[in-house]
Amino acid sequence: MDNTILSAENISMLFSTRKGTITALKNLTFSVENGQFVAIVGPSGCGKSTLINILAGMLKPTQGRVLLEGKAVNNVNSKVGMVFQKYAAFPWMTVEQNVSYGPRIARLPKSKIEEITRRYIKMVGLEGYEHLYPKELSGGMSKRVDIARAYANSPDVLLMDEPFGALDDITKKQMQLELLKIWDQEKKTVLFITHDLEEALFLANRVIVLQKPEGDCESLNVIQEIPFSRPRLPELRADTEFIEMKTLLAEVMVR
Amino acid sequence: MNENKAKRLYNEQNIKRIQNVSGIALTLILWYVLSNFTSIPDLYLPSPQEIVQCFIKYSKDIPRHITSSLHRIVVGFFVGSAIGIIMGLFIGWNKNVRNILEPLVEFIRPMPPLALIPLFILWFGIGDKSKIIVIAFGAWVVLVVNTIEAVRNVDPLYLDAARSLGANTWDVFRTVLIPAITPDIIAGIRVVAANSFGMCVAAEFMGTATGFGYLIIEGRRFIKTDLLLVGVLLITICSMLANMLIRLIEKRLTRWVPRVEN
Ligand SMILES: Nc1ncnc2c1ncn2[C@@H]1O[C@H](COP(=O)(O)OP(=O)(O)OP(=O)(O)O)[C@@H](O)[C@H]1O
Ligand SMILES: [Mg+2]
Repeated sequence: MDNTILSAENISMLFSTRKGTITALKNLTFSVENGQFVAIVGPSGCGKSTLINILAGMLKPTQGRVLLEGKAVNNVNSKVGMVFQKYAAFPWMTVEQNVSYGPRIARLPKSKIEEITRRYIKMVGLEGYEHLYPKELSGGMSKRVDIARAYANSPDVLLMDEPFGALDDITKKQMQLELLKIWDQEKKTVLFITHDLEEALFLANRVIVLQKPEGDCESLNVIQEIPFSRPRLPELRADTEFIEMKTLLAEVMVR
Repeated sequence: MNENKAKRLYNEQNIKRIQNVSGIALTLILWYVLSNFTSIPDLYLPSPQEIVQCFIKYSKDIPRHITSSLHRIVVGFFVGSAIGIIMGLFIGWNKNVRNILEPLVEFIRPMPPLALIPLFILWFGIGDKSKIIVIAFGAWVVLVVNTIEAVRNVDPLYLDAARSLGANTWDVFRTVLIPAITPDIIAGIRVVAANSFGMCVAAEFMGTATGFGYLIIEGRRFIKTDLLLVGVLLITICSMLANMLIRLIEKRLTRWVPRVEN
């Protein structure tokens, strides 16, 4: 319990539009323990992006609050790292300049910046591509830059909003394995948003299933612990227990 | 196989080069023939040789005219561009500044700078000052609008990304906004550079003792068509060189921009 790093307390988010008020999130409460890999799944429009924007401090909830290490999150800050759904590497910076962005902004000593940059470029396997611009990279490589850049800034928590949503299936599965390896090395809390249930089960310790808040239905559907041992290998996807759990959660999701 | 392909590519390049030159060459030949072997009087169409002779005849004066016009253009261009870009940044970046200044900019924007020349002469006299101000005004209008638009088009994703990596407002300005708008600004600057030459000549027509405009006006006044054309050619060449210089700078500054190669 005391190991909680991030918690959402009774969060609701209403948007007023021309067509009236839209409830994007309703009474959502959950907490994330330090070092965990938590996945948030849910159908399109259930408020996943809204939630991540609130957790990152980019959006103020209508009700409730977000606590990071016991302190309220009110603004965008470097303690919460982001890997966006879109490719977000700065096009005017090389791979190296992108990865070193956080440390450079923080005005770390030069040797430290170089060390961090080298380490994270190596971690995502982009050695030899340091001096390329994003336009010269493939989709998977761009995503690696985004991930390395977020890690290089050493946030306390990493939020990832469907980071592999735009990738083809093979690249996506490859990136999932790499992300797990990185997560294992870095021991950093990751909150991973996806609409792909299999992806969520494969990656996470815990899956939080959201639903569209309609009527007196609240945002939280179910929280499921994922017991499968690590390291997780591609074969896990064919495991009967894995498939059973996936089927079960898929049923819960459409209910 | 590969060698053949390379050879074909080489040939294609050569063909392209020949085609590029042929249009100009044909026009020159046509000009030469029309001016030398028809009864069209020199007054309307001086021959290429006459133009060259005229160049030589005025060669002592030409540098003076070039520097005097270039002085007006360069000063007007830099001052106008700088003010335009800085104002555009403020208007695009800050909501309060935008609310106050944008309607004003929208009102001034359609004013043709040339229509303001008489007013500027009235205010600032017939000398260099009014000419520089017309050019600066023309540069300002294009760049202020261009910069506002460029700032508005910066993808908020990059602003969010920078902030979530710990960037403060100044960092975002310096490391995201400025690089992101650079390609648009340079495109604007290229337009402005070309306009500046035209506006300089127009201002010089209103009265001057030096400059490209002077050569052209003198040519017309004394019915020396060759001198008039020398003036026109000089501006054209200078404008072309300015454009090439800007392209060179552009190439260095915007290597990162994804482009469709052709
Ligand atoms: N800025 C906004 N203004 C008005 N309504 C909004 C806004 N942002 C989100 N919404 C609404 O809130 C609801 C949840 O949107 P959100 O983008 O969080 O869904 P999502 O779960 O991320 O969906 P997807 O999987 O398709 O990305 C939607 O009904 C959407 O129309
Ligand atoms: Mg979304």
